[in-house]
Amino acid sequence: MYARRWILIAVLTVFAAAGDLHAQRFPGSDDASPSGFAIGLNGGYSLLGGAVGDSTSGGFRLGAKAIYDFEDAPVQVGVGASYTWFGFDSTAGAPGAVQYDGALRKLSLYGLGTWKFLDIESSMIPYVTARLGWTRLSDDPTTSAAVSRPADEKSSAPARKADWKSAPTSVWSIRSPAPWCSISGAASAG
Amino acid sequence: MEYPVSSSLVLDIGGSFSWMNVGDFRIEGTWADDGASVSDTLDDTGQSGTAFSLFAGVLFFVSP
Repeated sequence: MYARRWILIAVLTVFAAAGDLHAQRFPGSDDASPSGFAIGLNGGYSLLGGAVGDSTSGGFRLGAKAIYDFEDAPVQVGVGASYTWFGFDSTAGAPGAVQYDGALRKLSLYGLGTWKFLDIESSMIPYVTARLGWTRLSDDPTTSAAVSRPADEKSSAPARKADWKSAPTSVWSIRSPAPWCSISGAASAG
Repeated sequence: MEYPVSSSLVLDIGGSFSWMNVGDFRIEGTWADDGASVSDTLDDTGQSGTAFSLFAGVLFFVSP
């Protein structure tokens, strides 16, 4: 678990360093708003909220997208995907329920539209992006485990992951399509 | 024939807020001690979820 987090942090550092290097190499250039096709890679940190947020902790996220930037209009369209690892703990659930501890994986596929709403003479270009797509949460069988049985079962003795005869097949499904809209920050070029 | 191509690297930093409609969360499996099957549904069924994310990345542009 810790090794994976360090790898993700290293990836983020490389991303940030690459962008900063470009900004230093092309200060004040006119290509702050390049047009054409682009491939984007990003990493980040995500928190779940709402009705499902009580049982989950934050997780690292990796994403990729392919976009087309129109030369004559401040808009972009594209498609993308992201993958997030969340921690999950339902031990605070209702009495009598199966207590569960593990990890959730969130996969999202979406189409996107971006509007660069402010044309300023700067290397920073603010924008907003709307995404619409499908997403799914499911458990990670390699790290998830039931930690106790309901009181009304035959035995109330704690059951660890090793006590499962087969890996749990729990699924946290998101009704499809799952619309989600997002507001994103700023893009910068040299 | 050659097609001139220019490329550009862009740093992308931001955050996002998402909303989603949650379906069923079901746990299904088999207890090892007596082979009894277990099935449970958590209380989150049918409710909404939100996600807040911060991200950093790069965009690699290619323009013919």
